[in-house]
Amino acid sequence: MLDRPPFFKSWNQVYFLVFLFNAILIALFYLLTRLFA
Amino acid sequence: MNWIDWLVMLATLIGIAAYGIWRTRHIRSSETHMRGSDDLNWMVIGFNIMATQASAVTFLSLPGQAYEDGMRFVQFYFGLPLAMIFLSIFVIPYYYKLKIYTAYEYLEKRFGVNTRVFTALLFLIQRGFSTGLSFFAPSIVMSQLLGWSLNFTILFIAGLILAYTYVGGYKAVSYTQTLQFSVIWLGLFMAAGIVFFQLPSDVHFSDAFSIAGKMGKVNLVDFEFDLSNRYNFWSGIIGGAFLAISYFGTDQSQVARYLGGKSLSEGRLGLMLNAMIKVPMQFLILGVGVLVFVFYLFNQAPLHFNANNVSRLSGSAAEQYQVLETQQKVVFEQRRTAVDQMMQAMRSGDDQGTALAQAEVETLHRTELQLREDAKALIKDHVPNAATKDTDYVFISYVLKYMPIGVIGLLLAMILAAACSSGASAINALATTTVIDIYQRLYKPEASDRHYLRMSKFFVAAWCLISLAFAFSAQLFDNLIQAVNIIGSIFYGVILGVFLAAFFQPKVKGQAVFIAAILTQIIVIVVYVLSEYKIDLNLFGWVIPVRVAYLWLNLIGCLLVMGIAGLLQGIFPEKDKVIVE
Repeated sequence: MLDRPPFFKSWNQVYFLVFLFNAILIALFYLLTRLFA
Repeated sequence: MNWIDWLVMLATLIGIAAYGIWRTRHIRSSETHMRGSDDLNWMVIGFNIMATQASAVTFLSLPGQAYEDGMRFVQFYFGLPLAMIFLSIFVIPYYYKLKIYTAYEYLEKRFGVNTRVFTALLFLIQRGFSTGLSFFAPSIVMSQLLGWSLNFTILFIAGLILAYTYVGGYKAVSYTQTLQFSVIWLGLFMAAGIVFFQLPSDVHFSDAFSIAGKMGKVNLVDFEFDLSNRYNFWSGIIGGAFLAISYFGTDQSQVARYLGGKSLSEGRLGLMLNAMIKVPMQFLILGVGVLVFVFYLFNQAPLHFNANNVSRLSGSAAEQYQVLETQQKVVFEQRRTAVDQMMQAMRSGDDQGTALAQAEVETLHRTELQLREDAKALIKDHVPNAATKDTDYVFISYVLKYMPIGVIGLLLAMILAAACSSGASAINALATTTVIDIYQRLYKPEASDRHYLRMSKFFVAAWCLISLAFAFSAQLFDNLIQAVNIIGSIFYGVILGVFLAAFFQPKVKGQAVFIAAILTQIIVIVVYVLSEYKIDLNLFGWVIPVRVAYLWLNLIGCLLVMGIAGLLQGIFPEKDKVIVE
């Protein structure tokens, strides 16, 4: 099905961005856990 | 409670319901009532998805859980973004291509009518039961706070939901959920901000988190692989993704939210919005609980958070409780001094001083926890049928005691709005599935649109009544959350197995999957009964002690459906064609 996301060239870019955002978030959580342990 | 709080709470809840009714008062088409008019943008879809998942229990239980157990529960949501990406790639395109009302319609195109109806029935049983409990669970807490009877509180929540879902169906659910979700965010930010500003003025944000960290509450990520540990990174990524795929991909109360989008792109972006916001949102809710914990290091907490239990103590039991309270006050004062010392040592970089003060704080904290356990034992002995687990009352008792007038009303509205938003989605999904997958498909395929509109409204009312019946009988269950999870685990695995077979086993056809689904459902129920009642299975003299924790039934159900279906298809190949490629 032809379907393009707004502002991005492909859906893979959107998925990558979502994945990256959550990966950074988890990394930040890990840092917080270590920092405040 | 002050009259301003009553006004804020009732005006918010009734105002939102009235807005939903007013916006949808002209709906005259069954399609609009059951699946909307395909005009939602991605932001509304995302809000609706999150509002559907957020229930009152989320806001009552999670801050209390963080208070007791720290923030590690956030890991449970780590798999959700992966699930959203999976659904966006593999599932939504099929649903949009077929222009379906319910997820189960897709199964007919793939496997035939039997599988569609069977899976829809499993959904109706599971969702109907859990909706009843979702009326009941928050009502236990809210009825005590508002001074209403339990039955009236259940009726109040169900009545609000019925009013706008009956009139406007899907559209009313969508309009109200957008507002309810805004109230939820407003309440969350206000709660977090106010708790923080109520800490002593010399306690900075970093101090609060440092102290919480020293007390083991900032336990956000644990990479250690341990099957017996319920919340760690791995169980969150694997188990969380698996559960999210089955919930968001096959549960009509969620599927309906993204099927109402303007286009496939809007539906996908709605899921992506959920993938971006869900983890930070849970972090914020748990963070509020941790801030409440830090607050109670500087202010004396109630010995038992459920004030209703305490007020039922009388005579010598009440006196014993007062003695425990006096002991707690002494421990609190000592601990507060130790916390101050720990904070000063941390600020000056004195590691040895920090460690010493921390050990002192931890010892005193354990003493306080023991006093709490003693209070619970006292209540259990002297108050008949009292539920002594007071985690769900931690946040709400703080709100009532320390929040400013007006904000209390808003936060109570937030909790009840969450109950309405998840309940209305469920009722709308139950009604639509009953009309589309059962009534129209099996009994009345050719009728006027007006007739189906009437039936849609009828089943909204009927499901509200059935859920109410479940809610009123919920007092029979000891542990509600567990009851919901058990019922979910018994049926969800089979439903997911059927859907995964549809998507990923192209050679498997209708008859094989239908037989596999029925067989698996029977096996899962048998396994559950054998495990629950500790009965050994005797197979021709071969005794097997079946002991399976109920959460595994999800996985067992799913894998068995796919395995048996694949096997049957291999042994008895069918000739019918796969309709959906």
